[in-house]
Amino acid sequence: MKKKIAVLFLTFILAVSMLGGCGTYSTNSSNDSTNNTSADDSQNSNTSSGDTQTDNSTGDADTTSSMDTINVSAGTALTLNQFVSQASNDYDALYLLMSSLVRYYDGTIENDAAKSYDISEDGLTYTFHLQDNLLYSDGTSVTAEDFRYAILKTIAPDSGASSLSYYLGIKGATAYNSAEGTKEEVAVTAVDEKTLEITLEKENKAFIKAISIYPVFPVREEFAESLGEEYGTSPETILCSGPYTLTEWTIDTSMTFEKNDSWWNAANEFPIKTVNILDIDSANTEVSMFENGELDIAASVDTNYLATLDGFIKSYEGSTEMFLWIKETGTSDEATAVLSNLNFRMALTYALDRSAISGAVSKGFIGTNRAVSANYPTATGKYVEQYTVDTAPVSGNIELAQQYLAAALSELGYSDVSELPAMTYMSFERDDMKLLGETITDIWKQSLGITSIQFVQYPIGTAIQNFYTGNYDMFMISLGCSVSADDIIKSFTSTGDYSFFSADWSTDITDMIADANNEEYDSDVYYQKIAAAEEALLNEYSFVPLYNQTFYYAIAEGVEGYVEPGAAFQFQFNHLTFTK
Amino acid sequence: MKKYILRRVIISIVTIWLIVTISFFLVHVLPGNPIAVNSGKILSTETLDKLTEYYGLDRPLSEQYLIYMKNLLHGNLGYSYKYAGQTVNGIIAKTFPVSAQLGLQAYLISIPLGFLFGIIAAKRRGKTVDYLLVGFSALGVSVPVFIVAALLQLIFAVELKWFPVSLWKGFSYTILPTLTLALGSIAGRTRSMRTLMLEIVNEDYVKTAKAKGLSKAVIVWRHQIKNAVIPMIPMMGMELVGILMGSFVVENIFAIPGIGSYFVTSVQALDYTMILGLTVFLGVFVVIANFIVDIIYGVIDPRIRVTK
Repeated sequence: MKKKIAVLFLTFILAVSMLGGCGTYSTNSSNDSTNNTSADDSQNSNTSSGDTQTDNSTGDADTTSSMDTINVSAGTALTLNQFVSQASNDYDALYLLMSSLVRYYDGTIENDAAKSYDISEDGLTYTFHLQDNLLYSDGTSVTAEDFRYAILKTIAPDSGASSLSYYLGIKGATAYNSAEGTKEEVAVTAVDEKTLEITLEKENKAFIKAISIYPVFPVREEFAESLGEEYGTSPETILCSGPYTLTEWTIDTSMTFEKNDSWWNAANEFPIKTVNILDIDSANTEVSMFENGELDIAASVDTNYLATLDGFIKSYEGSTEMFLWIKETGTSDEATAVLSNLNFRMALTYALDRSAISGAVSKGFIGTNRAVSANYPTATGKYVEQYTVDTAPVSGNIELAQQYLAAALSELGYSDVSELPAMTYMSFERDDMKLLGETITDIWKQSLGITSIQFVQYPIGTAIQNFYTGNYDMFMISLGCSVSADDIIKSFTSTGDYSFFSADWSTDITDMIADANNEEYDSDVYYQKIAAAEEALLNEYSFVPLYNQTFYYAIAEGVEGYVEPGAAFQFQFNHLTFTK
Repeated sequence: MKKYILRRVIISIVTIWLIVTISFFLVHVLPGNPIAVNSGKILSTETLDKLTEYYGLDRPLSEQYLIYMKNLLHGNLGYSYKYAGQTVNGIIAKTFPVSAQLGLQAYLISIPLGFLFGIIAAKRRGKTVDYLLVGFSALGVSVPVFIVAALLQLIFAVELKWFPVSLWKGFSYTILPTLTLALGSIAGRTRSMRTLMLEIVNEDYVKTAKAKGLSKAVIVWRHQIKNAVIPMIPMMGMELVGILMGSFVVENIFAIPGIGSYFVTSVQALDYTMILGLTVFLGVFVVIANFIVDIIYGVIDPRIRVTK
């Protein structure tokens, strides 16, 4: 019997050894790069009325050969149907797969599907002239009609496309979207196969930038309509018109992009032949893969592993900003009276040393007191550095906070802070938010003696539901600022996308933003007016900026030309090279 | 027997209907709007309303239920709310085979090893090998899977470079997750088998066999092992179902495109159709597994056969 058991055991061990001892595993690194692309930066300066923007990036290419495969850990797309997509990961993938009229790259705007565009004297009409050799992955031509179809579908009455708001400025678009106008009345015209004309309701100097960050990609109508719901759900159900085609897509796991040699500018840009996007949820696994050479770019590294990957880590400031929204209409009459008191809101804001709090909570957080992301660029620098505002300092001021609180209590008729009504400070159920929220309520308790503000966390679904129904007093959440300096500020106007972020003062902010947008975009006067609106918003102390997040990523040796996403797409691999 | 099978089939259908109905209403009681959750950002009220209408979530719950049941009867589990355009049937069809492969591999390793270790430990009770196996069993059951996974990755992938750290691209990619998944199962089975073997040693029929002069091997094989395995069969059936349905932790750590992670993420995302689809799928599996186990159990153990 002993022998039998021994034999059985040894047989098993042998089997396991055979399975496991299949030699040393090696990663599938492909051919070494030989030449690197000499990027022909045909970056456009802002166009002025009547100018013609022409493309000069073709013809003189210093082409490359045998580029490497690159493995990148990042989120994969949920859908490639731009008409229902709500996730930034989808647009990151579409950036590689599709041509857009203009292409955002590293803070500049390049021509893509449009080889040039003209802007009419009045600044209302944009005429895009498409590339002659613009093809889909099935070899057929991309036409102006395909762009027209995509734009009209984006602004259709039943559309929930995330890029919708950027196209509502087109003449007739708002009426069509609200079912008060017809599709035919929308001023998007395919003049001929290669000419697309778009007319805006009123001049918008940020239009080209907006459509570069929130592009509408060409879609052949019959292809999309024949697929219905299935459009954009697999490599087979999307027609690619961009630098890559999609050869493999496993939801939530991986996407493989193969260079599309028939893309009009394939010779000059996107030199990497195969891009593997790997969706690695486990931070430990991601780091192990990077150490093992299975990953070449870890697009987002958990701050707990920065020391482990020391030497490979780089960082950038994101375009999103975490803030505290103090709703002036509270969940009870008593709370409403307190929260609508300006001195009370000032007390809460001045009590916070946002630099210290953010630094203590995570090394990736940088305290801010601004309503524009710290990385928002102007033509000559960073907005927040060039245009200052007079508001509560980022380091706070406890003494002033206490004075404001005393004034508030006096105005409200309370003799002691303990008489304040119960108020709810809500956030999503996330560890970083828990730490931040508890730190803030603790500071209010320690420095102002306020104990009636209860910090609560809910699952995202519940929190958002409460947000929509107004069942909260304060809410901690983030907003992004990528297209215009006023992106965040606009959310607090009376005409903004988010009616829930409005108060009595919203109309004034609306007027100030409108006034700023009458100025030349990206000009000094424009930014001065934006700063004035920003200051007005900040000094209502309902919107309390907390921090800008810093993102950490790791890139392997030999990876050159990686563009930090910042305000836009993650995979700006236009000139990325990789040599091992 | 035919009557028994027919009765079981009817009970199974009613069970599945109850599971679906209760799950449907429970899921809709969950606070939050699936559209708002899945966008990952705050949508404007207009966009939210349009998407809510698009997915039919603005209709009365009873109407939504009838539509769902009608589709379900046609085998249509609907479209996922999170993965726009993807059908739940399609997602299950793509992810289940992956989890099933991983689970089967782990199962096929854990069954012989668990039994073997349990038998060895029982036969060598009080000896070093027994202590080692009991220690292994205790560790295997108590150490969390994510620790085991991280250790295996560190040793066999990062240090020895025998296997890749993660992903699911070929057989070599399956070894570490299989071992991770199998370890707890081996440990649990070792402990159960050892306990059952030791209980059986004192049974009358074992004493009778010894008195009859049967060899040790025959006693162990024919009387001890066989009788120790019987009580484990129902457990093994359910374990097989569980293991085939994937593991959120293992699939998450090894970036495996299996079905396991959807059991968690679909709830987080309030992906109603996905939650219900998975519930139906799992429910059907459990009901069928129970059914098969009952039949097998009767075949193996004549005492439990169905009476007329």
